[in-house]
Amino acid sequence: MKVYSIGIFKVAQGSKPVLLSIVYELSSFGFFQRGSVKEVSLFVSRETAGRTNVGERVSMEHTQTQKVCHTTVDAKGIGCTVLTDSEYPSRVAHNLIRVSMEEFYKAHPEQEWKGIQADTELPTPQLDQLLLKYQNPEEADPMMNLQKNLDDTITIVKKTVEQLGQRGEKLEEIAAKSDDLSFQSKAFMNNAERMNKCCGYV
Amino acid sequence: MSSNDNTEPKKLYDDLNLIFKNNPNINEIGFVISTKDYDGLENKPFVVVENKLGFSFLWLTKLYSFCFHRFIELKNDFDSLINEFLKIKVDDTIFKSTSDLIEKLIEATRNVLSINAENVTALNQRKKLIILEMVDHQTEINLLNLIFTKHPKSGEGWAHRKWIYTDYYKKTNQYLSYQIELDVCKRVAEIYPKNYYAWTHRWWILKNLSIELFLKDLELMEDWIKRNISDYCGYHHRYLILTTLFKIFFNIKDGKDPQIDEIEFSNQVLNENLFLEIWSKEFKFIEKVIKMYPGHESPWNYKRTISLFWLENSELISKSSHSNLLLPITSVYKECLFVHSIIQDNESSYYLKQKSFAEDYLSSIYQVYNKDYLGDSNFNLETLKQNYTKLITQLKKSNPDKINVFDYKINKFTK
Repeated sequence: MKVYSIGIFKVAQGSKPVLLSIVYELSSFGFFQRGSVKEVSLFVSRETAGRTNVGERVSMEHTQTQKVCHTTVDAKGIGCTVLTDSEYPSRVAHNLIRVSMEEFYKAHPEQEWKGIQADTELPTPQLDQLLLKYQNPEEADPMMNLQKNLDDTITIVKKTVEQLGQRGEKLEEIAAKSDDLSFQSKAFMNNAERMNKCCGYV
Repeated sequence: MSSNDNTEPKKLYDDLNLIFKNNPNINEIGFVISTKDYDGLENKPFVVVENKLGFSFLWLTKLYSFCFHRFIELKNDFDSLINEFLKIKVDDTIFKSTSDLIEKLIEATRNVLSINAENVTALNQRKKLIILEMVDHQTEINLLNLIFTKHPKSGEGWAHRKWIYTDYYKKTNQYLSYQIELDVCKRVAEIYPKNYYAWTHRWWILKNLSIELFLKDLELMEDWIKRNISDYCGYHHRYLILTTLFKIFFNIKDGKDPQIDEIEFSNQVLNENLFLEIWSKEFKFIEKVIKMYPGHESPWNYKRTISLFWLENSELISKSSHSNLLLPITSVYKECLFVHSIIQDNESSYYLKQKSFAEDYLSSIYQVYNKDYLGDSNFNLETLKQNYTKLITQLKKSNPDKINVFDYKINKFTK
């Protein structure tokens, strides 16, 4: 039950999403793994944000690292990604996306990021607080009915990376082309899959 | 191997010793593919950042091979020294005059174990040094804490830890800090989920302690479970604590675990009301978890385990003087009601999964009915049998691959 990162991207059709802000919570990893985990998180978040249509709520399972990336892109072109482990309830994750976007808009008005064309870090300390608060979904969402399928407006689409992209697009190929991943992180991603296989039967 | 080949690994080895000497506060080790991210240079053998030591994979094989050979050489020296000592029976000043060798041996074993914690020879060498009082127990625990940051699942390492803890107790009749043990188990379970070694160790430490600490650990585990819904280890730990409290409360000494049999029941710490509260809270807690996180099998399995434990012991409880208070905690009838509330809640997410877990659960509960106590007067043995047959027929339909299992169950039941 973990939230690893919250990322805010500027998404425009046909180009790579631009990073505006990202925060991480990586205490469950060893010190020397954290660098790679950060890169992989950024990579997965960016690729998912870039493949999400405006208004769509997507929860994308990244099988290699057994993580789930929850994403929404709004009409202004701001995309928010929340990366969690596979047991985190999607509904709560999408709640977190909603409040994170609100906090981002409060901290940074549109003119501040409209012209940005390259990755930046717009400091948004509220995201750090949210990230900590949402580690325990029960505390963060005291409504308790967090698993009820209440209405259709928040239907969450479950997809894999392959389904998100064009047909035939393989994750390994996307990863190979990505600038977000160093050699070490690519090795880490492949090893993560192997390690999961030897100790997991899920 | 010519001496020339050895110069490079020897330098690595010496560098490593120097790093450990200059940074006594190193608190984590790890292996890295490239050192570039940490201090700008690609091919450095070691990096030290914020008291964390990283070994580069590039040099690891050479370094380990050298460490191991170095250790064997020193070990042979040490062994011949011991033989000499046994033969001539000189006084033990002979060891003091060789403190240099001992120190080198301590370094060599540490270096070997940092890279490979499964090296039993090195671990046993360290045991010898502990027996000779050249390494003290607390230092050894600290070293293991460090090694576990990289090798959390080293079975030999955990066995070594257990040995140290026991040896210290034998010599001093006191325990080393149990808090350090519990803390290391928690951290290791975080960085490597489903780490059975850590959980087994945690219980082994705990069962030597007191009822008060059982209760404290039970509280801590509640938070753990909320954050790790599908990791069964946490549930199993709770099960061990709860059933042990049960044994203590009812004074069952089955000889399975001498340490637990020795724990004295005291009314001040564990009275009837508290015992009742703990167990009824447990049932409420797990039902809440099941409802909040539908579609996870672990909480269902845990619920089955504790319900079966309780129902199987209901005869014992009904004969005891606490029967009025304790019997209503759960019953076949109560469990049926719970399962029906889940099956009716078809708006829940992962409904189909949740429903199939619920039905499986119910079929296990029916199996352990108690003729004298079903939990409600409206609920007699006849209805129970009818309901069970109905459920099994349904399950046979929805799981055609498991027909034989269900046939077996129903045969056993009707007999």
